[in-house]
Amino acid sequence: MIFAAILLGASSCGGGTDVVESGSYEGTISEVNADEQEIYVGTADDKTLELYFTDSTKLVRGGSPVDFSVLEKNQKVEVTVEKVGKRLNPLKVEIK
Amino acid sequence: METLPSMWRTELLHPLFVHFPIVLLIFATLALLVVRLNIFPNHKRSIRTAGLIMLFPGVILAWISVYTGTLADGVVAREICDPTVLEDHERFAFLTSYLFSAAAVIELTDLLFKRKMWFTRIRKMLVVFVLILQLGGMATVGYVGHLGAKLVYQQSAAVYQPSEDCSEFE
Repeated sequence: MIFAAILLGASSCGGGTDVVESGSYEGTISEVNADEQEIYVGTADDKTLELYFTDSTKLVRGGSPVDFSVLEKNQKVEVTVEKVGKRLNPLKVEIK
Repeated sequence: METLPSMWRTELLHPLFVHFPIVLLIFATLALLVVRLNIFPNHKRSIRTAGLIMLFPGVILAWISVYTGTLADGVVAREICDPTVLEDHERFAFLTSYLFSAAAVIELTDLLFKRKMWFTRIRKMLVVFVLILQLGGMATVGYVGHLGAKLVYQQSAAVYQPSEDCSEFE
């Protein structure tokens, strides 16, 4: 019973992320992890996308490429992702 | 010709440390269970000491494993097919470390203040609480291990795939 309660409690705790189909999504950055070049984006339909930048990820603002360091919490972004298995590859992140 | 990757890659520090807390914390809990169930009444004291000797380094190594796991996360999350398993693995690893850390803090308090009057009043309650924490931790450490195994054996997390002709081994 102890085991079940702890496992259930932990699994229902927040912090989960969502997997979405390939496409573009608008949202707000809820967390930036510079060390891992990773961002969390909350979408309008209450989903959280965890995105690890790769060498091919394009990060732009006003049509011009910008550095990862300009990203910060609460910024509005539009992300274009490609779903590979259950992994989301960010193809493009546009700062609004 | 391909060359073999180094065995000192960042993502390989995690498996270097992670097996120590798994063993230490499980056996620390079993030792506590033996003491509380009074299975070997004549050896109660020495078994409890052995349990504590396993618990304290087990907790330290659990947090080192969480840290090295976070380092590995940044590498493997870009490669595996289902990072949601990795996320659960991380979440339950934190939970496991917190449960055993809480148990260790209470045990340490017990060692330091067991002769104080104020402590003896709550001691019986804390003894039960520590057992619950460690049994819970033992369950989650098993689940974390299961998720870690899924990452390695189903998704090849941090595993180098040799070339078809194995030329890098020649």
